[in-house]
Amino acid sequence: MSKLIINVQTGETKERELNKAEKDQQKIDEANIAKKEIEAEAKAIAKAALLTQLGITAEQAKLLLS
Amino acid sequence: MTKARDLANAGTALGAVSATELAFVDGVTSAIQTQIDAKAPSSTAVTLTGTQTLTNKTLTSPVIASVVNNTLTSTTGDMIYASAANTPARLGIGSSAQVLTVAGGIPSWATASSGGMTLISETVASGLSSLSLSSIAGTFKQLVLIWCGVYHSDNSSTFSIRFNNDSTASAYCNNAMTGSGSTNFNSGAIDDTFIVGNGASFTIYPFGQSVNNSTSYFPTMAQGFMTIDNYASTSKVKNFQTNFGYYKNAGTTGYANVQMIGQWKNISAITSIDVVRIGGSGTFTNATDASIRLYGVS
Repeated sequence: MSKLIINVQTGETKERELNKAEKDQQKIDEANIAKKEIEAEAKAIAKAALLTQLGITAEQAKLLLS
Repeated sequence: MTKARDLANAGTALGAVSATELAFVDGVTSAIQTQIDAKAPSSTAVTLTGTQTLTNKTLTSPVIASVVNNTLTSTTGDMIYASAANTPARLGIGSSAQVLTVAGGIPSWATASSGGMTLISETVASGLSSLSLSSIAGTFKQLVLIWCGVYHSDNSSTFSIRFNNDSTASAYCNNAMTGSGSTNFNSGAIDDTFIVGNGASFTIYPFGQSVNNSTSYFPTMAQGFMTIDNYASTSKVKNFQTNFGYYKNAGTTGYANVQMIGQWKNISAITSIDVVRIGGSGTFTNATDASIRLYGVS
């Protein structure tokens, strides 16, 4: 859980553990992208189901929409 | 000269002097030697080879109206220009690397604008969960962040970018065209708390997601570049353009690529660029001969 902080003007570097606020933010971010993954997975499943239902491939669907 | 003529006519003692010769002095009214002396060259007379000073003389053919004074070029490198019509003036030599420019209608020397890129910082990441490039001076017009060869310690972590570590809701407008695998292309826009390429079906992150690719094959590792315009402004939101990509090893696997534009909806000057872990518990590292570089564009 190390964070490297580089002062780009002086070149000074400091490495420290994440503080509480940063850890809390990570939890929020983690939940955020987990939600995105679930939504993306759901979309992919729905898309595959629709293609199956239509009896066409993804390429054929693209052709229809082009 | 009547008497002289009489002498000439006498024809004896002055036989060697002809009347013609005597006629040469006809009309002389004062001492001839005195007159000759008065016509003799003096120290102020002009000669062909002497050095003289001419004052108020006009040369009619060729015409020389006004000769430029050589005191205008008192120093090596000086130049002469017209400060007004028919008015020569001195432009003293400039400093090294200065360039000739025009200001207020007259030439002058000025420091050349650099117009280039300056490497502000180069970092080789090693087992980091977060990286902050901080204290960025507002002395440039744009920032350019370039990274390559970034891989993760596991296949369940995700890394993105924030400015000034701002995680405010909807702080970043992300308008992306994304590609994943070999056949899928999508475009979409989303406001989020970090920078993310969000197509209609999948999301792609600047410093990668599930990129445990420590091989030497660079395209599988996270790589990209980002240009941030007007980053030092304190009155405008910040536009950025970025391309990035990597090979994703978990979930929907395959190459993931993004071309996007976006805004950080904040008028504060950007003083830090933060690579943040937004998922998982892994770290990121630069492969051999790879780094994360921040440039300032003048």
